[in-house]
Amino acid sequence: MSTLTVTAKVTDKQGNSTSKTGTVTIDDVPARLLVVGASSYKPGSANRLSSAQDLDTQLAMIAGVQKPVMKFWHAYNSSLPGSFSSSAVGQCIANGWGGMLNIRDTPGRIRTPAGSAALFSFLSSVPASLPVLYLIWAHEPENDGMTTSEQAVWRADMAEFIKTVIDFGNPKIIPGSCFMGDPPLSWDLFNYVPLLRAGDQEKMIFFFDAYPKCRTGPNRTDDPGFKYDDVANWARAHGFTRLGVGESTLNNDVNLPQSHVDQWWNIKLPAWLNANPDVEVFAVYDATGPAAGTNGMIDQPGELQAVANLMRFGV
Amino acid sequence: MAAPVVSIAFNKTTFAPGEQIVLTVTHTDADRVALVVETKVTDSNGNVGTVSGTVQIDQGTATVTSVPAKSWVLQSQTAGQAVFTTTA
Repeated sequence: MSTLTVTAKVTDKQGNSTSKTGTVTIDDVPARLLVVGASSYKPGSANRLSSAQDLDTQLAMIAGVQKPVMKFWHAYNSSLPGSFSSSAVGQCIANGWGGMLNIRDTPGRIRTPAGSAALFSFLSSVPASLPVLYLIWAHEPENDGMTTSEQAVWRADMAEFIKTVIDFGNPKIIPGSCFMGDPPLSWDLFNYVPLLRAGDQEKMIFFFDAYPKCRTGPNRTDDPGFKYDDVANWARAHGFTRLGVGESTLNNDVNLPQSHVDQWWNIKLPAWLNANPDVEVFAVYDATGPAAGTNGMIDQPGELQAVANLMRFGV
Repeated sequence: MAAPVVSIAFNKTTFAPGEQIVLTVTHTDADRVALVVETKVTDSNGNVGTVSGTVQIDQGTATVTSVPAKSWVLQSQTAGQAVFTTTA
């Protein structure tokens, strides 16, 4: 946001003049800067933000950030149904924020009557007051060790989930898939696309973790961002018109050194986003934290400043 | 010797980049008078021709500046009101 200060001056024939000043606001925040939020509610994580107040406190630490942000909880739900209608959405509603639910399901479950009913029930429970809710279906194949047959089930579930949410018809509820894996290991999972209908991709978001990374395995790398173009181009080529990045930018799983993280935030990610203006940004402020002792929270001065720099950069 | 009394109004308070901002400046002045002058000419046959016109006494002129600077275009003007536009 920026302010335009306008002064009108009226001068009469005698030389008397009077001025009046007013201001208007120019909402020049790029549309793609959608959300700054916090991951939370992941079971078993001890040092995640515990309340909206925590998030406000930490956002306030980002000195000089003037742009408004759409705060949201990036809630993590391990399965359907069960915890699906979690208190995370309740937090979003209570705070007037948007929401993002990161869903992980047991293969095959979404297409059971119980799973389908749970999803539909949840969709029906989302109040009109919620600004937007991103329902992101995620998986980490290399971490979860799915077999080939399980991946086929997962793909079918994924497509069913997306179609169900689209057909529900609430434009505030946007389905998506989260690319959390390591290309090319994850490519096969994303072959759910042929199971979609024409035009479905345009009604969802293809969301990939802040850097497609090699968390484990032979392709692990210390060069964050190296696969960004691969993933974005793959998604575009497959009909996705909304791409998003975010979440685990400072991924703790790989335990990158701080200098590396700083370079990512301050140089590589801004540069890549600048070259890809169609990509939306989620959760650039990521409070994701592991259970203990690693570098997940953006709670150091350098990290906070890097976030501020990224926001000022215009992403 | 009264000074103008000015009020301003925008068409809305928040604009997206590229949107048109409309500023309406309304002003009055205690000294301002719309003087109607009528001239009547009568010939030797008694025919009368009349013409009249209006002049403003102590008319006000509105100008607009902004920070940051923008080009404000005067769209319309009456004795007591001027409408300017610019692009957000």
